[in-house]
Amino acid sequence: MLNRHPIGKPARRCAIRLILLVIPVGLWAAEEPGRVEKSLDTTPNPRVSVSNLRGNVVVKGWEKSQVHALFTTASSKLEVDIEPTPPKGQADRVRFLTHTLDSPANSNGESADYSLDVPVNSTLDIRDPQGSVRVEKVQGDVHVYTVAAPISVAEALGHLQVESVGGNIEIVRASGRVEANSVNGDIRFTSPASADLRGVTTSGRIVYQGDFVPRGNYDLATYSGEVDVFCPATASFELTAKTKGKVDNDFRMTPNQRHTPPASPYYTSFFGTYHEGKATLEVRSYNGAIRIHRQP
Amino acid sequence: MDEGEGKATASCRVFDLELAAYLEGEEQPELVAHALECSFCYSMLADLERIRSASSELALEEPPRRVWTNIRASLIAERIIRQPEVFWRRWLESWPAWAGLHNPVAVAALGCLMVLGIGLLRVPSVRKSAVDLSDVASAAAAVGPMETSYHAQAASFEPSVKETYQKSLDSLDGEIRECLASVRQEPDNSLAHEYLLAAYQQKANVLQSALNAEGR
Repeated sequence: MLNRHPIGKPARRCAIRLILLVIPVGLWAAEEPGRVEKSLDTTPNPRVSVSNLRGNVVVKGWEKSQVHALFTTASSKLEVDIEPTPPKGQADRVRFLTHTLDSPANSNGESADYSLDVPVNSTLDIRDPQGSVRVEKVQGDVHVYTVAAPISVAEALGHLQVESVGGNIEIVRASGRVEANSVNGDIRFTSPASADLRGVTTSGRIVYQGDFVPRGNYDLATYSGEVDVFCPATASFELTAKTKGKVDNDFRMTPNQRHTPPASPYYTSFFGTYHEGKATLEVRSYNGAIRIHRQP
Repeated sequence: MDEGEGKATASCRVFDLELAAYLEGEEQPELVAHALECSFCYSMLADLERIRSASSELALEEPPRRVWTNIRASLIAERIIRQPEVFWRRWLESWPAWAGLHNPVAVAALGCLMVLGIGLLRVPSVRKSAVDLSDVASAAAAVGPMETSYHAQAASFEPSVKETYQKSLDSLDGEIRECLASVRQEPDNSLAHEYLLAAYQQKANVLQSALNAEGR
């Protein structure tokens, strides 16, 4: 609960506060126009959040307990605020916030590019509506959201939650739980090591390239797009595929040992087990084709 | 917001964003720290704390029926919701007075005759299994107000952001239309039903995201 303190402070005190607030920002920004570099000491597993407007955000995990940030802003109408918590000492939370001095509707393509090195065990929350996001080698949980731009995440170990309204999503060698969701974008999974993976898009295509973890669950769904799964001949999985389109399957499968629902007159269903059926693969497309490719 | 300045700082914006979570009991030490330094945010927090404290002492009472009626009337007047028309009332009102159908006795008599007539004239037909669209109706009802808010705010969005949101909403509306038509024609088409619900859920997510982002 707050301690009450007088509300009507003298205007002079306010002016001093304002000056104290503005001067460091001004000095910091004056280092080099458009380019700012800063390092902050953190705990080994801080929570780092970025809220950008437009521009590329690249975040890489490193072994230091430190966040190193490099920003490039293309306009004097953009400001980047950095808020470490606590403000002094090792921060366990760092926020980066880009904001425009004009209203968003008047901003004219101004962008801020971020390049961040963060402790490898950081938890990330990145929001970059009109810019692309790339995350590499981060072991904590990662949440990324864009509106129109692509997202790429490589070698993530924690829970990965990636969302884009219209951008494409690419996830490479993810090990933790993966949830990828787009409306108009494509989704591509490359060499996943995750035992719990879900990709959903409305009009985009889904490509899964890699093997399945035993006892893993893989759920791929699109509405009007196509789904292509490329997996090795040594894979072991139980497949359920449903679509109004076509199902092409390169694997010679045995009928499912578990319950197989009756065929529907409205869509094509495919159920089968390959090898021991150690992983569960569920693939759906309402209108698009589903192709399961066997790789040598 | 610093006193006398009239312009929100970044900390004030963060304060605004996290205020709801704090009031719901989440620990937000930096929010409290900011409030101690900012008289505007301090006043707002103190007011909300007082309201919360006072409201917790109030007994929960069901508001009188007229309150709901007035709210409903306002929503209809503002075209946020529509008044469902009762079919039989509209049908009866379309008849001229001479037909005597405003007389309950005449209506009852005519009704009996119609039921009888239908019973006699009915030919055997293949009965379609009834489709339960109650979950779909609930999903659609949940999305409706969000869509209204979105359209009210979308004018202030940056054009490219607005275009992306609109394109995605168009895709989802197309999916909803197609799946809804399939579900109506093929009530046991579980795939269409599943996709229909998923489309409403996705649409709600997109709208929520757009409303949270306020066009950013």
